[in-house]
Amino acid sequence: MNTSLLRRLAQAYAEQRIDRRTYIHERRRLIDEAVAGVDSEPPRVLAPGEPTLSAIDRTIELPREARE
Amino acid sequence: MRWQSVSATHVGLVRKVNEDAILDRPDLGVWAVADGMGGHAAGDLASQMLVESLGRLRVPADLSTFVEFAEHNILAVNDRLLDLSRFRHQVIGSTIVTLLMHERHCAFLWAGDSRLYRLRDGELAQLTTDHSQVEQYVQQGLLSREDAQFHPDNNLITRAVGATPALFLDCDVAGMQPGDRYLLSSDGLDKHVIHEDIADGLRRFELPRCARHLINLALEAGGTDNVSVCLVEVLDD
Repeated sequence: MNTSLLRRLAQAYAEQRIDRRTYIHERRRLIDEAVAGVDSEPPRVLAPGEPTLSAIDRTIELPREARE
Repeated sequence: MRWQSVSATHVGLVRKVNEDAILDRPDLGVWAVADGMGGHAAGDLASQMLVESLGRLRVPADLSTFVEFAEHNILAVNDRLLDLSRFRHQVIGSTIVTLLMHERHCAFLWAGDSRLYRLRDGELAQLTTDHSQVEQYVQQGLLSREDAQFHPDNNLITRAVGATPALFLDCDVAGMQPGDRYLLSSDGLDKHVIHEDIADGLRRFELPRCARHLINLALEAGGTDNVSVCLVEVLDD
């Protein structure tokens, strides 16, 4: 399965390290290969050792009162 | 594969309005839980817009297209909520977790802290990772997983539909097996009910009773938030 690759890809997109067109293309490939039972090659756009937290997440924190 | 599902929601014991919304469409292979924010006539509107939009999906030929369709609909709601927020001068947003089943695989997309779990061979796994402040504390090693559940910041989320013009949904896929049980839930469940008690309920009860059981556990523990559960069971062909 390509689960970890897919999540890493989504994270790279959230961090704006890849553009939307690349994200959509690579996501489709990974999902199609997962369904076909193929072991996928990591997308070349994913550099090794990327951070585990999305930089974008630190910038859009919602106020507590919005949920109360 | 075939599947069956049940869902339940409760306003809780403190709040006056249920801002959660559930989509339960086994005919499409689409399920969702959305947890709105912004108060009456805002949060409930946001979550309802999301589930209505996903309920209009048509089942495509392959899972990757299914994901694209679902993402498209969620992003369209994001744009509409931002317009509405500007017009009303208030926060109008919602978390979302959606599960798409297609033949022998499923995909799921999410933003915020609504969750997807899977029970397989008696073991419960959380398949989504919260977009929340406490999850960041945990990943940074500042907080243990056990302490995170009851941390005072556990209602601070870091992604939501309607929060920002650029919405990034997380996404993953998984193979399905007969007997798998999937649980979509709002944070009104996990802020009160520990992981092992959720697993125990999923192991012990048939779907309708399990849904009631999980809701009751959240209420018995305080019911401080709206609580929603959607249970999906994968059946043999």
